Amino acid sequence: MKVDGNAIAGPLAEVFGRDVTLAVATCAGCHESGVIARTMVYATAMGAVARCAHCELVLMVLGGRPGARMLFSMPGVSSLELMPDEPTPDEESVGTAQRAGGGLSGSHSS
Amino acid sequence: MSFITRGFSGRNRERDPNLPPGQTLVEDWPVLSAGPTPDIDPADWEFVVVTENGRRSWNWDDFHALGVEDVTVDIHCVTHWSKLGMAWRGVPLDKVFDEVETGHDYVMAHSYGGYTTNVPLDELLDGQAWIAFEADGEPLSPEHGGPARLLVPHLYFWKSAKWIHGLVTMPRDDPGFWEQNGYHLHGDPWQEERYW
Amino acid sequence: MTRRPAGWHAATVRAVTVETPSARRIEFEVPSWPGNDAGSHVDVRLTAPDGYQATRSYSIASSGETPRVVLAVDEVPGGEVSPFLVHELQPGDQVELHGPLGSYFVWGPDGEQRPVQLIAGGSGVVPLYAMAEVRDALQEVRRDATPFRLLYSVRTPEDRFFAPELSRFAGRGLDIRYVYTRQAPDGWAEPVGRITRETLAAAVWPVEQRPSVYVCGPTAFVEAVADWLVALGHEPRDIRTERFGGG
Repeated sequence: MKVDGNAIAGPLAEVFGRDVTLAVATCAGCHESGVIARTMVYATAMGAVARCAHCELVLMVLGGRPGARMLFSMPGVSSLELMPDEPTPDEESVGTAQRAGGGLSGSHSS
Repeated sequence: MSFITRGFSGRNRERDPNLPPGQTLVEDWPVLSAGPTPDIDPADWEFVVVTENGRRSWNWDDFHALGVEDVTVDIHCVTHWSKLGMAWRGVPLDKVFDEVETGHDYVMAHSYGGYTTNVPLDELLDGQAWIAFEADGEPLSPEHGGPARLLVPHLYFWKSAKWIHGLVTMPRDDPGFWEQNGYHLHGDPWQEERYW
Repeated sequence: MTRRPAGWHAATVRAVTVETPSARRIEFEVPSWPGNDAGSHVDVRLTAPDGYQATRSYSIASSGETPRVVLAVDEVPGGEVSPFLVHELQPGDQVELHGPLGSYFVWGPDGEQRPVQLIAGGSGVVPLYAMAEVRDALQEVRRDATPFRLLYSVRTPEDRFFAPELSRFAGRGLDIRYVYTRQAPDGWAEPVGRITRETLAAAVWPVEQRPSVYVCGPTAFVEAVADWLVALGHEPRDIRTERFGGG
């Protein structure tokens, strides 16, 4: 099943302790970068493989025994950039998160 | 601690003595992929074997000339589905290794697109494995691994690498793609060797 | 957006109502819920008596600082989780939810002057509905709420999610355009069939308005629409996408 990085937000939140769909990953192959939400994800019952939307390199893999031990690797991510986590403010923050991506979004074609 | 969901039992997973443990018979043929489906023209296709003694390759026609046979086998996916009595057509790996010498005991299968999986060499011989072009009487569709895939039915089906490009012999049982990501190095369904 | 921690929560079913012939609206009470932005999703996990677990993601139709989480689940024939949620789940039952998840495919009022374009394929309407609902609530308070358009592709009128609510929103400034792919209401003037580049071009905010676009639905739908939007001149960075499986 071909989806995108939004689909693995849950398992990645287990790894990182927070939602990382807006984290910016740099591809170790083509050096383009973009938010995790825009990676191309091939998800099956075996696990999930997140690929660079620009060059198709395998960025991240989620495998392991379901419900028992998760196995996470980032063989194709040379760096990951996240904004610091914040306490939940009392009022709604003003300003939409604007980390929409560049190269990792590729041309949108499959 | 997770609690049981009232009324949920998952798929019917009754133990069927004809199937390895934890498997369920299916009528369709599920497609699982770790990446985009490669587009390979048989005219451009090659099958390569690399050993410590060198490199040997065949084009589509030369490879078929090694000798094609029909077999009927059961296949078992680690994601719990099985198909019994599937008709396949391909070149047995015995014919390939008649043409190649190696002292290595293990093989890494490499696919177009970059997928890899490891298998002991002796488990590819003696009628246990083929390079297959047809399934159920039809040429293998791209989504199922066409034009050719490795077929090793006595192991979980992730070992039957789709879009096979070639085999590289190796002295150690190095892990392929899924074997690096939590899946069993060997993968015998009857021993339920699914995960590390 | 408000940063909210993602966690596992025990959720109690308060109501299950018929949304369409194949879908149910499920309202959960989740006392530990930190609230969620419009567009976020949740992973629902079910556990069988033998310990077997199945998890699926569903977009949240509700939003805000509330312990109420509303999903709209369409049954996938032969699926493992959705038939259970649609046919078996009853008020009083408990499931596990992981969330809120997703900080990319979310919308909240932000003082931007740019209009918003929502494009939904089938059950992809759920997160977009959540956004439209926020906008509608704002409209009651401020007359200058962000202009929204919704392009909603659906098989038949009976398959529309949130039809009554969307109707009310339409009366308050939400510009809704439906594309029926199998069967349209009597007297429908538009062609019946899959959305085309031309239909899309005619329905969406013009490029000059620089809309903020959200596209959600099956992967093939999302990719076709996103490609057409780029071909029409919209900037890729202005188009946010969320793909469901299933082509």
